[in-house]
Amino acid sequence: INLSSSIKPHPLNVKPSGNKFFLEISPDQRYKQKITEKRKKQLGYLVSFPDDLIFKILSYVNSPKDLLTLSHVSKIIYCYCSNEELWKNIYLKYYNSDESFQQKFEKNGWKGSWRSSLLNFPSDTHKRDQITKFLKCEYNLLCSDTIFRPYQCSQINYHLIFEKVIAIESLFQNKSSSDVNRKTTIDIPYNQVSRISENEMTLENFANNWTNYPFILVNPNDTDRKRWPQWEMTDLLKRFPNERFRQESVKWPLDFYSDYYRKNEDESPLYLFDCNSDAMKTITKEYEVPDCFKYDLFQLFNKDDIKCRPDYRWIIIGCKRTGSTFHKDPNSTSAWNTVISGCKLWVMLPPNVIPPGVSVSEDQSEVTSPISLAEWVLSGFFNDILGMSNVKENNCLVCITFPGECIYVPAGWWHCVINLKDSIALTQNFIPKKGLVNVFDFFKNKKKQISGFHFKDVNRSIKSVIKKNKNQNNRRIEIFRDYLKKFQEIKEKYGIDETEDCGEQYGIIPIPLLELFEELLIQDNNSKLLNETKEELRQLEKERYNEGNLKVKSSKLWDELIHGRIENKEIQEKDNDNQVSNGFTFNFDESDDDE
Amino acid sequence: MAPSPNDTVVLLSSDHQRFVVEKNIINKSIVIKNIIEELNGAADSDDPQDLEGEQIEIPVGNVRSSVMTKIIEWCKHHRNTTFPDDDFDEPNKSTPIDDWDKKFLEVDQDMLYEIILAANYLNIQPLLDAGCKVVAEMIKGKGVVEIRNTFNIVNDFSPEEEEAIRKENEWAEDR
Repeated sequence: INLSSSIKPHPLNVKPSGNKFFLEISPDQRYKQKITEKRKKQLGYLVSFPDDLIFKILSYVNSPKDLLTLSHVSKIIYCYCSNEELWKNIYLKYYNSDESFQQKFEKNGWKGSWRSSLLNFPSDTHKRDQITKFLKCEYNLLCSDTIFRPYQCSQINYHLIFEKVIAIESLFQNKSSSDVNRKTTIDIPYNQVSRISENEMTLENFANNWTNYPFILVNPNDTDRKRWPQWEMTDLLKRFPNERFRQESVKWPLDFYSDYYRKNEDESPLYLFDCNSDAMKTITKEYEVPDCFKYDLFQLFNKDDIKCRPDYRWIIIGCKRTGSTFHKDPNSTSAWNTVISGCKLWVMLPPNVIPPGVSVSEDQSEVTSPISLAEWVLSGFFNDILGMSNVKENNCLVCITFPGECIYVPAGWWHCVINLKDSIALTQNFIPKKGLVNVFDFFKNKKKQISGFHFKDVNRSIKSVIKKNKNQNNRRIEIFRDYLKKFQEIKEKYGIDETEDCGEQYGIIPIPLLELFEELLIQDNNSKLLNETKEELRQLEKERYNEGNLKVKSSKLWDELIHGRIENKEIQEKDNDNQVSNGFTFNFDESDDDE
Repeated sequence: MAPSPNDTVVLLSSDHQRFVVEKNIINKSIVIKNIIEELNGAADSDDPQDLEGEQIEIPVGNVRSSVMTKIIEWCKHHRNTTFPDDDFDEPNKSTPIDDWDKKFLEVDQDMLYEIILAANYLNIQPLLDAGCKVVAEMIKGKGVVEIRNTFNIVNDFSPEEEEAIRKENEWAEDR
């Protein structure tokens, strides 16, 4: 992809930090001196402060009025105070602290920027442009990446950058891959995701061949696109103008959000990701899950008396530039995602390939994307992906999904998504038959990363399981009783917010979810699958253990040996320790008490 | 009990003063802490005799001795304070400045800025936070002229620019 797209100058003429050097080597000594003096005048004592310190100070000036007054002190300070992040934080703080602010903000409407909205400036952008015109900086008066970069990212033109990918993917739009391949020979510089006709993807085909690999379901014969709903934002707006869908940290009514959606210039605009609004109750009735995805073992957590399934179906609405940075879906579930309108770019990596430009802790419990999607693309990480996908065995995949196309994201796969246009999509997380082992593995070996379950619901469900098995006393029921007892104790001692996500409170008390899942499978007359899955997991753990032994791990002991600093006796002792800590059991049987 | 030379380091200020400080006091500075760890690591792997009994000397080229004294005073006072993890720093945006810190930072402005810059340079986050909060307090509730006076900023707006700003104030007052 081409990253050398030109960009409009910053409205206040703030330049990137690198421009400082232009000023330094400028032959025009008089201009240089003039600028240096101006900076001194306009910043006073703060002239020696680096940008990040100035922003740190500004972030503590947290009332709109103070920040506005401060911005009128001098032109450079005006530029610093124009940083939208500052205003957004104040807006969200006020919005979420007090209902009266919420009402007031919503009455005022979206004014094009966080600053203008918070200060309730006139909606007329022309008037505001007049002001910025007068307050523009002299050339290289202020060179600051902290101000320039978010602006640059907000102006990103994905259509230009991804021109080639869009052109290629459009050829395949809603056609099955094999059909297109037969007709054309084009050079595709990345690994594509296969497009498969929905009627070819039977439940069996999916279970046997595709559970662990991404693909896109298409309906080539459905020329009037009847398979999926065809909503645009305007349609939803007509139906649900006042519905409060969740948009990250706010819950604006849809008509407010649609205004924001059209007019905002954020680097990472707020993304509507909703599952619990009233409208969703209607919406979920208006589409049909593809047959191959209907088998969903997570449904066991939402059946009869058992009601503790984490949220799993969402409507996603976002203007262009919204999206999700790299992540894996929660609880090792798989997902499907259908674009209703707009289009989405996907980058997908298999579970064992760590995505570039993202920092992941060793056990993968913490994933942080230090930069926005736009910056990720602009700094060349997407090009790194293309480089990686040349290595066949890496299986890095890139694709774009268009309306009516339903992509499958296997459990554990890394993915990031960018909305190239204003987009609406539907998505569900689920556990396919052959995906059960992944979830068992997760519930057993990655307990700390379990999320989406709430104590209140889980405890109620567990109680009803116990009740049903009143006269039985198997290992699981015992574990459930112990758990409830322990929960009660801890609750009395420390107090637990039962409505909270168990992920937030893991340290307090781990929920026996694996045992609950086992019990639910048995109740569902699925002991066969349960036993198969246990066996699979045993194999998986064995393989992992063997791999771990083969891998050359950097060990402290080894390093110390190399440097010859330990006496023999110590080595022996340490060796013993190591053996102990490497002890590993695969047992699933009754005696296994790894709780 | 006087700390042994092994437990102390020497910091050299920009004006060549030597400051002997205990390691477990100055390790509030992440930069110094890392340097000490690095040097200890190096000493371990090479000849351990090398640095035995010898004190580590760390030049801190852009901190004057008067500022260094303050920094060390702060570290001493907080030697047993555990500060919340910086990763979750959003909530402490609103926590008020610690009383002792507030008193400690009641210094002339030059000194305040130098302490902030030194805390930044040496990576002492809690001190940096406190310093920035104090500066923010100097801004809150003040008018434009007051703020200019506080920070020695000269008004160099042209009449057109003044007009633009007046307009913005007018809009904001309408709300």
